[in-house]
Order: sequence, then C-alpha cells, then structure tokens
Amino acid sequence: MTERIGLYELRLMVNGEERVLAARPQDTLLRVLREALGLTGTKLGCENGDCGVCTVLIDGKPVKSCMVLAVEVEGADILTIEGLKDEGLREAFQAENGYQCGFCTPGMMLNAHALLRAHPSPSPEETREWMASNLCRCTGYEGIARAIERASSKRAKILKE
Amino acid sequence: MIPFDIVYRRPETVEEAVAAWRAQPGASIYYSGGTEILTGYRTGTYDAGAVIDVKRLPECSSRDTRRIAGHEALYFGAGLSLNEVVEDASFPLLAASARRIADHSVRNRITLGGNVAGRLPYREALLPFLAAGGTAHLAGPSLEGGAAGGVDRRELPVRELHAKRLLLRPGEFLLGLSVEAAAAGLPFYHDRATSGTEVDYPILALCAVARSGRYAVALSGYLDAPAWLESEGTPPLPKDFPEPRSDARASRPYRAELLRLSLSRVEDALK
Repeated sequence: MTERIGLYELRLMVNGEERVLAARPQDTLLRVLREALGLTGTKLGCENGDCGVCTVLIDGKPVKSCMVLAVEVEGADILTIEGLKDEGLREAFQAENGYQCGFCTPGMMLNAHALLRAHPSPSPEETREWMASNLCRCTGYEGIARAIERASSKRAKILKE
Repeated sequence: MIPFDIVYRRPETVEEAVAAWRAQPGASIYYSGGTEILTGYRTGTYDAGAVIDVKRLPECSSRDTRRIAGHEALYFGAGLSLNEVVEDASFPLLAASARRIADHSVRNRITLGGNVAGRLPYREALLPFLAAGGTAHLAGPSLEGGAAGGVDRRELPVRELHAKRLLLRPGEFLLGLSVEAAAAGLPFYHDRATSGTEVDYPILALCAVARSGRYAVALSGYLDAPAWLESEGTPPLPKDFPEPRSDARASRPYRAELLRLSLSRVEDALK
C-alpha cells in the first residue's frame, strides 16, 4: 500500500524531465505545476473542472489538472504547454486567429494536440466533442475550429508528400 | 485549493482497501476519479480526512467477459474512466449514455464507479444497467470478525441495490458492474435533454431496451434520483412515473412534456 501523509517527496515526469519536489497529499496537480514547478502556462481558472484552462496531458490524454491530486500521477507522463512541441498547431492558431486574449490558449492547444493525435482527421463532430471541454470568452470558437482543421489538413498534406 | 490536510492511501488489493477503511472508519472515503470529491473538498461538502484510491485495483480496472449466474456477462471495473467505457463500445447503450456525461476531458477522470456511487443525483452511467438488468459487484468489511475481520464480496442485481442511491453497507465499495452479454447487445433507445448547452446536467436522460415483449425504461434528471420501470407489450406511460421535480433548470410541466415526447419515440426506435 502506498501511503502519503504530510509533506512527502513527490517525483513527477513533466515535459520529459523528472522533477522532485515536496508536496502534500491534498495538492492538486495544477497547484504543483504552477506553484512548485513555476510552470504558469497552465492557467488557474474555475478550479472546478468547468473551464479547461488548466488542461494538461497525462499519458497523452487531456485532463483538467485542477481535478487531479498530484500524488495520483506519480510515474505518469505529464505534458504542459511549456513542453508542447507542435509548431504546426501553433502556426495554425496564429493563422486562423484561434486566440485573442490568450488565457484559454494553453488548454485549447493541448486539447487540440491530443485530439489530432487520436484523430488525425477529426470530423467537425469529433472536434466539437473534444473542444467543448474548453471555454473561450473571446473568439466564438470558430477560429479555434478552423485552426484545428488547418493543422489537420497540413499534416495530411505533409504525410501524402 | 483544498484547505486542510488529508491522507492519501493507494492499496494494492481489495483486502488492503478494506483494512484501510477499517483503520479510520469514520474519516476515510473511497476515491476513484476524484472529480466530485475534490470539488466537494473545496466547497466544504466533503471533509473526510483520508482518501483510499481504489481505481487501480485489478478488480476495479478490468474489463472482461465472465460467467455470472450461468450467463456470459460483460464486466466493467468501477475504476474505468467514462471515456474508456465509451471507447470499449461492447455495451452500446452504456457507451451512448456515458458519452453525454460532462465533457470529454473530464470523462478521462470520471470513473464508472464514481458516477454510479457518487452523491450527485444524476448517475447517468447507472441507467443502462437499470434498463438492461445489470449486476453490481461489491466488497466491504466482513460483518463477522470485528475489527480484524475479513472481506465480504457480494453480487446483487442493480435494480435491487438501487433505491435513490446504492444501498451500500458501511465500508463497502463498488468493484464493478456487469451485464448479461445478450442484454448488452439489445437494440436500445437513448435520449438526453439539458436546459441549455450540451455539457450540463440532464433535465431528462432516458435509456430504454426491449426484450421478449417487455420494455424497460430508466431515467435520470426527472426525479430526485434515477428510476426505472418495466412494462409488458408497450413502453411505460408518463403517468406510470411519479411527478417530476421542478427546479431552476426546468419546470415540472416542461419535464413532463419532455418525458411524454421521449417515451412516444421508444416503441418505434426499438422495433
């Protein structure tokens, strides 16, 4: 049985690097990423699992890091916006005005990245289903949807060539 | 932020999980995806000082086919995420129901057991098992032997175990749910309505199956807790169900009309 009481040594694999820090069992992954590791690209929004600005990938799957205890993901592979190397998606967001104030963008991009890995050519319904996890108050979502479509098309074109 | 200290325990076996609960019976809570518990910690509706994370127990994380009561049955561990259940697709009604709960990212965290055994009144993942007649697999402290006692395991029809909530004994938790393979493959009807956006709690979620001329309908969001009815020859009528709830999401007459419309489609959908 694994047991964690009080301050303990937490080992996390974040963006391909092992990070060792002191944590408490009640610390959420969001708090650890931002406050202990300084990875503030993961935003703090509702802290209620609704808005999606704290989205990170755990073993490739998008999750809201405010809804995860850090202790639960010891040994898992965590990807934050700081570790995302997806130039095609970044360029597509820029080209299609997929962001405005930018606060939701880290979560949006990580979720979109996971979507395109799971479904390289997502249907509009798949895009809508996945991206409904993230709220944006600026763009009206159309630019984000276009950015995902653009990134998907570009990848398909590159693979074809 | 969770404003107080908790203890985190992750047992390797069911026996360890039950022993952990026995060590602090009033202060421990079984933990799976954690979405409801973490929210409750922040808002003050949960205050357990220790969580026992059971989602990785082999019995909670497996999805297999086994013989139960002489039938081939599909078993779903309570620790499977809702997205894993959706992607599995071997019980299409469960996949259809689970797919509409919360949003895609949160469904990577919400587990089948957490949705079914949590405190929220909707429990939409339970509806397919109520409609198709599933079985709940439980484990908890043995009623004999006191503090040093062993583990009792029970298998009960979901329809018997559920009366507004799962009637679990103290210290008992859900290992998984199963459904007869033949029932899992029945034609089904699923309907869901919210008051606004798709990602919201239902004002009516309805699952229906028909087998040998009998219709079974389970619903959520309509009353204070999930409910189900069976009828012979034709689907149940709206008047067969109690009066719906009325709240800020939808009025009583609106819910009643939604149910009437939904039930009117069941027979054609299942022909």
